[in-house]
Amino acid sequence: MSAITDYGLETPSRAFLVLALCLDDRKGRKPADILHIQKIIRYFEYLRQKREIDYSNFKLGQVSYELEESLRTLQESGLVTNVGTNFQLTDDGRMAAEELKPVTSADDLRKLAFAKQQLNDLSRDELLFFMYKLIPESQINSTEAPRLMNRSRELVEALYRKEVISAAMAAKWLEMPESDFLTSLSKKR
Amino acid sequence: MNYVFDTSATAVLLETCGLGQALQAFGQTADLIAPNRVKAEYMNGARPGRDLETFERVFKTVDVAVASELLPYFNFDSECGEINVISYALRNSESCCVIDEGFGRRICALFGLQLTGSIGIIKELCRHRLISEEERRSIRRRLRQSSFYISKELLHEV
Repeated sequence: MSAITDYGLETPSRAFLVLALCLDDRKGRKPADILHIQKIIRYFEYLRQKREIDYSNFKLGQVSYELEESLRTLQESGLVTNVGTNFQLTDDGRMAAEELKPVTSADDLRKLAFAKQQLNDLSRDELLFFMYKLIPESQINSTEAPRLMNRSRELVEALYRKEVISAAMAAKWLEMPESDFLTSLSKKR
Repeated sequence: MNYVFDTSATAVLLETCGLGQALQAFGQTADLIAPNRVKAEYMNGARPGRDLETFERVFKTVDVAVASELLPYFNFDSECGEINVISYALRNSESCCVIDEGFGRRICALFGLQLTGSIGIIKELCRHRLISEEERRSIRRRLRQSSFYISKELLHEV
């Protein structure tokens, strides 16, 4: 018996969902809501520069129906359950994750862990803004991007203080010199 | 051991703390390295305190080929100082990165690199008796009043 074959975890979308839910975020939490899961796996694919999951540009940026469908399948199979708006692994899900880890490359695991640590404790607006800036084409069809771009300054500062972006990246996103950005932050210290 | 410095740590140590002389003395026991990109960033901007002469006395500058595996983490920007510092340390295992910014520090941790910050260097200078306790107190005051952003956590460490 292998959970990988029994539950079709050879499929990247299912495997990444199980793995993403077994990893800790920066606060040591494993559960995540659907928007964070979508963006964590998209960011992971951005980091590895390899697309295995189908994403389209929708109202909330790039989201994947394939992931949503896989998440439903995992719930029906009893590997994932939801508590409120958050999804988490069941005992069977955790066992499946342990099976998946050794057959996943160390580099992929590192990138997925990094993606979760980067994104899972961001607010919804911080998360969407970060992804819109990271992948500008994801702003196409977005109903949120214009509102968030109007709050660029505040959101960039929040992302910098949460150590999600560097000062160089922050300055670039705000189109200002890096030293001016750092000086402006020190005034708010 | 060698230390490879990022731009903001360099500016904090040389300009805010005025530690050029102490660093020069420290350079007798450890190599203090700055990628050329860091030097360019240090000279950039309109800060009145920049001092290229001291910078060149303290640091050995090096050309660095950016490690391609780091690029996605930096949004494919190979021009920032941190990616050059971390690239150098990835190829030179005896190197310790000197980075103050949280994001760069997280990348160092992700790749298992040795890491310190400007506060760690100040502590090293104290340990080598290159600055006195009184100077350390004055540095703490200057850091608090600095126009450069330093997180509260780092300030508490001095």
